[in-house]
Amino acid sequence: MRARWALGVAVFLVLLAVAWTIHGAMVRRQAEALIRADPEAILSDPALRATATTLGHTVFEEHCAACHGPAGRGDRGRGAPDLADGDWLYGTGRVAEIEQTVLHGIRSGDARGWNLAYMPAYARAKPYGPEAVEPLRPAGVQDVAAYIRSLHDATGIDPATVARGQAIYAGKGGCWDCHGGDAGGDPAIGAPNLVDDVWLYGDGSQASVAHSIAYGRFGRMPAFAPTLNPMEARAVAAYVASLSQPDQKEDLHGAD
Amino acid sequence: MAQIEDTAAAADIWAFSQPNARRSLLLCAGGALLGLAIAGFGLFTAEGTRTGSVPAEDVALVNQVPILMSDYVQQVRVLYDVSLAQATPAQRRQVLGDMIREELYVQRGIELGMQADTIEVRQALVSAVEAQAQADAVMAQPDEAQLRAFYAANRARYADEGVIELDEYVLPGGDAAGAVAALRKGASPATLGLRRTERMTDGEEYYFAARIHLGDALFAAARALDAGQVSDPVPAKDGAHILIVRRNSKPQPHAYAEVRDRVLNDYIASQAKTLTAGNERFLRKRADVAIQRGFE
Repeated sequence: MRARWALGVAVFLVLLAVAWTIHGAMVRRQAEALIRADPEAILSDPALRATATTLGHTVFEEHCAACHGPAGRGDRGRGAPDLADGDWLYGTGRVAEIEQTVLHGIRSGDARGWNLAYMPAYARAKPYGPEAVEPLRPAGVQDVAAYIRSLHDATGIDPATVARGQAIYAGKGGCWDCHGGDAGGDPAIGAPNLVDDVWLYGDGSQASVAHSIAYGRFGRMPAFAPTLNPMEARAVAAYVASLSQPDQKEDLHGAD
Repeated sequence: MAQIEDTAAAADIWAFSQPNARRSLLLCAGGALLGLAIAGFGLFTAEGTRTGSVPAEDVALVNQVPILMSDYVQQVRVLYDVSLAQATPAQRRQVLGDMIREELYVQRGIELGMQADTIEVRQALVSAVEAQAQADAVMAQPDEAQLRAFYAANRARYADEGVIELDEYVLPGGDAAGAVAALRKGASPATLGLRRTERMTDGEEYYFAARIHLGDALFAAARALDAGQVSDPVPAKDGAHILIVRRNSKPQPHAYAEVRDRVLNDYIASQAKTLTAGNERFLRKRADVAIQRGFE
């Protein structure tokens, strides 16, 4: 009787080990499918999407939520962008682009990260390290801030001030070089769009915009290549992309 | 008769109330096989294990050096502006072929010792090693307490620039002290024979610009004054200079929340500088550097 019990326990343990092994193999196969898939196809494939968002959510909570918030809504105090609003500072929100950002970061010291430019500090004697940019006068900073505000709502702003600000924007300030002649930004270098209502820092008020112009910005995101394995990086990238594509049904291939 | 005994023995093998050598042997063999299967699965699927197959995260192995799938996908996008699924087989082959070729050439370059001869490679290696030495600082995410402590210790660095507006006059000759006294009593500069300079006539200036325009001595006198105050005369080659300050907003520290990105950046830069210096000391210490006599 005792021997029969022992055998039963042994068989149970063996079955448990087999089940665990099979489960591990299945999980690994799913993860491998995730990493072998076209990144842009992940969110339109229910099985891949489920795998990616489950794993990605865990990774996000552990590594990203501290800055971007648990729901990915960002933190304007830190300059951590809202990841759920569909507005992308770098790139266009493709999973592969997000994956590269996750792996190599922004101004992270990783040579493959985004590090093409930063916002000069126009109230300093040398506003921008990499190349010559002329500082502005205090009135010039306010004029440019007023011009930027006028792109949203010109009510109550002196047109002469706006004209002076626009002249600086398009001239000696060199703002157009990064933000574009239409102030629409440039996702290739992480220059924010100044005409939408998405603000990376502050609330978009005159004082807040003037502060950014006067003292510059130097947002930073760490490179996670040393921390995350490739599957985790792919999964968290897909998860982040899913935050702004909650009900996506269509095939993303066509959206490229 | 023997066949009947064999059949009985076979039937008894699973009679667990009775000891049976064959059953023991079978169970041992089964356990061993299961163990081998689990070990084999672990061995051939574990990350970093050298296997004949290409790991899922890589698109190829070139002499066991991986070409990452994510890099491959990125390269397809860069070259053809299509996703992986949209790329044609020819495009995929082209990209993979190029990446394998590059890896082969890099490996061959190292075999040939190109790093010793090619300036660009040497510069890239120096930068890469510097970055590697700084990696811990750059990748680390300091907590808020560390950042606030750094901010508190370097508060002046996070002050605004200071803004000043003033009128500058020159008294080519005569009683400068008397002119200052008269100005302080409300006399008009014009009535005292003062000539206005053109250096500060554009309204408000940031401190750094005022320092450039006025020079260190006059700027030091100016920044100490409040709005409406008149400076003491400051002697110069062309006469005594006198400043009347219209507005002086002295630098005020920004709140931590306003400058957190700069604090983080400066903190990481300071940590990276420390690590770089430590790394260089370590390299010099362990190196055998022989210097020609007379060049020490």
